[in-house]
Amino acid sequence: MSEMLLETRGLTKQYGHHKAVDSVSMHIKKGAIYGFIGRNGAGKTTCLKMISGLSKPTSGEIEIFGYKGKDLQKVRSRVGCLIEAPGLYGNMTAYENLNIKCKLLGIKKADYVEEILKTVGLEQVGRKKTKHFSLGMKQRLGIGLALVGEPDLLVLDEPINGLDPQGIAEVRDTIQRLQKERNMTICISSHILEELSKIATDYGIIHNGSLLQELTRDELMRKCSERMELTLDDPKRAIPVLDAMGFTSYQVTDKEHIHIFERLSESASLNMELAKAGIPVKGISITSEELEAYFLNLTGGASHA
Amino acid sequence: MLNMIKMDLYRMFRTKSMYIVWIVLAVAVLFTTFLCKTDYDSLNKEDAAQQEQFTEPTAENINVGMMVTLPTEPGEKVTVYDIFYANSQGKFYALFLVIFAVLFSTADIGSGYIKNIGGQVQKRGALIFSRSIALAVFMALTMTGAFILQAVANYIVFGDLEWGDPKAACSYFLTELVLHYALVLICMAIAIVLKNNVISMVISICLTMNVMSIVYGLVNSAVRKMGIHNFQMYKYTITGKISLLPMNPGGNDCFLALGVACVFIIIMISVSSVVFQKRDI
Repeated sequence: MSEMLLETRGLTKQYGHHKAVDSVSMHIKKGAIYGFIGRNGAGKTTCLKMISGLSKPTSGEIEIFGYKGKDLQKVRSRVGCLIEAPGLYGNMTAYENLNIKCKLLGIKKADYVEEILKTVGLEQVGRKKTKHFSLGMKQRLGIGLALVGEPDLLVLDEPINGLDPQGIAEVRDTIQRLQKERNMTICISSHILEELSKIATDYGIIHNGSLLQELTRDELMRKCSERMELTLDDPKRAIPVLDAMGFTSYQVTDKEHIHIFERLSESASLNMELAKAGIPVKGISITSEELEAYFLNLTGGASHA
Repeated sequence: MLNMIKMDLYRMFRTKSMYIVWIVLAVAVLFTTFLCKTDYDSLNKEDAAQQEQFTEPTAENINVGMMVTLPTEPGEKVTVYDIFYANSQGKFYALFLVIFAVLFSTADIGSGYIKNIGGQVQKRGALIFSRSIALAVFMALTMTGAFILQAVANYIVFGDLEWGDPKAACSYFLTELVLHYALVLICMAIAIVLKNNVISMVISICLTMNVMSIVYGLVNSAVRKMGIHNFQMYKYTITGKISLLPMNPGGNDCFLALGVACVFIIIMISVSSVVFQKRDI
């Protein structure tokens, strides 16, 4: 089992009677790019603020690098974050904005700021005031600020929001490079599933403050791939039949369904074998799902978007 | 903590508003010195007698708004200390200081920069202490600069340079410095608690301009009804102490003023720090 870098247990944030985050238990493996998916207002930002130490949970627990409770403060400096829009001093240059944080963290290494600027592709505009930056440049500087102090966990909240396709590609490249070159664990939230699917290795889907599902990239791809769906009264009884026929890639998804991901053309023979074994088949169909459709189905359909 | 102080000092010296405040203050000091000379030249002895009544402020005679009155008697030379005293007790410097205090205290909240650092510090409340230190540096530089600039202005406007009584000037300057610092921290606390620049600025300026004297009057009446006579709340406030500190302050005057200032400084840093620590960003 992979080493967990971050775990939350029953994480809850309540404002008055409204639970913005409701008992979220998430797990992020070391070295993973964790895609935190949810619609606008689902509770992503609130959850990430609590993880980043900007907001206090109403209840629940956060464990990072094995530290929890009061000890969590000891490792807070190892968590860099970019929450919502990048917070920058507009009348200062990119260099000065980064240098402020360097002063706070006691970083005196020469050329450190230049290195960060280079990492996020802003080395040419380091002496330019940030009020003259485009949104994409601001986002990259925000990521740069999160990188100051070499954090082990990077929390990025909607870093591609409002960016044009080129800006999205630049931010995506930066994130992938950081993960590869520095083996950094990255938690990135977005409501754009397609973009997340290009970089994330693990996913958490949040809706109305509750974490609906956590799954790996392979699991998600499998759920969205073409498959044979069997509807039965008791799926467990069908398993010996499937094994006898040599099916190996299948999954019992609930009390009535089995998903088979191979030999999709053999649905008729499978139906016959099940009938011979005295297992009534309520339905058999070949289906596939787009990533977006999967997400929409899980979160209650497009009408709520 | 030292890193936090370094950060806030770095941030402060790169804040445009600080230099704007200094430039406006410098221009205002020169301008008011010219006005002082005009007033001084036009005063006759009869007018001066009237003026003398105003230059000795009392708790019963609180002016709402800014009032800068030269304490120099006709025939005497206008000293640097005379005008510094007049500006200081008239809350002329305080006005500039509180404006910057509000802008500086909320700059990281307003810009959202606090999100970059707020989670990574072990005790967020300590950020308040570091900005209090930065404001103390700003205060010391501004008041010292204002005094030196006043000397230059006196030399330009009056043609010669008279410093005034050095012992009285020194004790007055240091006591006023601490009193002004307490006022700056009150405004910082208001800005931190309210998180709104405009409202904080209005309240801070009103506070500096003695608008609270209306409230003090109500409190005084209430206390008198309880049987405690001669109570003047204004005497125990920072704005009151700034105005009422005499030109030749005795040890007791300075001690009382510093005592009141210290109480306010401790309370304001504590309140701001707790609020900043507990509140979500």
